[in-house]
Amino acid sequence: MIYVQANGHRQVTDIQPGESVMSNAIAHGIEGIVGECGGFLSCASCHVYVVGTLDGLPPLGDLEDAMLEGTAAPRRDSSRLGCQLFIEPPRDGVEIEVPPAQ
Amino acid sequence: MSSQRALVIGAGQAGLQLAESLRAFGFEGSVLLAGAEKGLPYQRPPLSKEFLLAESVAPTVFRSGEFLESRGITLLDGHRIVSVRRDAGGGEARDSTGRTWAFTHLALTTGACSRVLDLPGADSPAVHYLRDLAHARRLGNAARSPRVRRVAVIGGGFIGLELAAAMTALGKSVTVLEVAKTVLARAVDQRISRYVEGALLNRGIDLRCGVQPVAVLDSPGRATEVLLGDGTTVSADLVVAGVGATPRTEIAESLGLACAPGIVVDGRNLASDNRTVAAGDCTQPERSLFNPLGLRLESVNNAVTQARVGAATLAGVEPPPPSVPWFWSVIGDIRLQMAGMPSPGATADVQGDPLSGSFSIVFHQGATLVAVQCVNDPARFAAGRKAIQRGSVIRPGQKP
Repeated sequence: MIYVQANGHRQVTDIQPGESVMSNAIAHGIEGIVGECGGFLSCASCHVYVVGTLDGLPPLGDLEDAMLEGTAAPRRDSSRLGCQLFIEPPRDGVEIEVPPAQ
Repeated sequence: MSSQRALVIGAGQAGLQLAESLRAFGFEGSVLLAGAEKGLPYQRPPLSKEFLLAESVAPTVFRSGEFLESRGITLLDGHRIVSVRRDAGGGEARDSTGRTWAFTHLALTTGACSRVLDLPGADSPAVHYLRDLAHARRLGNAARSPRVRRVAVIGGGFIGLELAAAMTALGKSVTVLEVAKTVLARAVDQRISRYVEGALLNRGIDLRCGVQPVAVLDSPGRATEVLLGDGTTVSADLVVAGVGATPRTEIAESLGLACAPGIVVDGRNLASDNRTVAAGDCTQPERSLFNPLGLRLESVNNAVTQARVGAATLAGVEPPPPSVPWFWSVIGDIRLQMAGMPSPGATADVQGDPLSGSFSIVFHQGATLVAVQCVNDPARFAAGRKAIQRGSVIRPGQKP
């Protein structure tokens, strides 16, 4: 995974099968991805922007769609919740832009 | 090299957040995070939910050991701090092995423990509580045994109902015993209580409100029985009690800090000695913009929020602005999300249709939205939380 902060700072991590982007970001201490509810689709504090294609990602669920309406940073077409984002099979180079606020 | 050393006692969600936030706020000394349990800090909310259903016994940890190391946070796991002595320069803590740890800055994130049933026979091995990983493992192992068919849950609060739903998912026959007239009586609007009760009854849970457990009867070779005040009994192979939590304040009290019953903290999360900070379930907050009654909050959000404020106080920087408290619970397939604190005089109106299984109760004080309580209604929750935050922050001194 590649995480890009608003200030351009980049961090690269390995993601494991079955690990969500939120869990991956938390485990590696990525600033700006909070995941306060631990992945229960309850807080929208793991909001991320996917850079590039959304193909091959799990589809946007109804609950996720609803929670994205309440994000601290503006919602974009590329907005997802990291707790619902599984990269299967894990592959290199998936890039995530971290929003300026959660 | 700084000669400062912060000691954070308690390695739950608040303690870990406080340690991390000390770094984020530029604290340059060493940071010690002491926890009684062995292992990395882990998430508690799953323990009453999917953790019980799975055979896997690994908890969900927040951070890897490498991450903590990279932030210069020394985790003293398996070190129960038993006493703390204060002096002008800071103080010294002693762990259960007799080892001492000097500090210049002290934070208490000691959490809470399950309130114990005060009933004859409640020390029976059939009676379980749920607070930490060891409890969850013991409860999970017991509950997954095919010999356990009937489960009695004492307490119809969030933990009790989450457990009841999990036990039902494990195929158990579940009875919930609640003293009050409705479930979740102190936590949510009664229309939500009624909805939840209906959903639990539909799942086959035997729900008994307005009953008073008076004893646990345990005799060898027979099922455990919970005796109720009206003389009837409920038979169960396993009893689990979720009857509230008591803040852990032994260390705070030994330091002479005011406790009522949690450690009394001000808006900067300072305790009554004006130099120790405390955060999370162990605290009693003062009245504030978003918590006008000064209620004790036991939630992930409160632990994280208070920890950040406490860390800012120790690091000597401006604390983050106040934010709306929020809570969640997942009871089987019912998703409850709540934000803000309804005040006693607030109006409470339904939005959405309870019959559809997705609705909210919105609370207004005058024209100001002060709280939302949402059932399977994440869009209203998300919008409501934002609106409460915005409305209450701009309100003071602003033109109408």
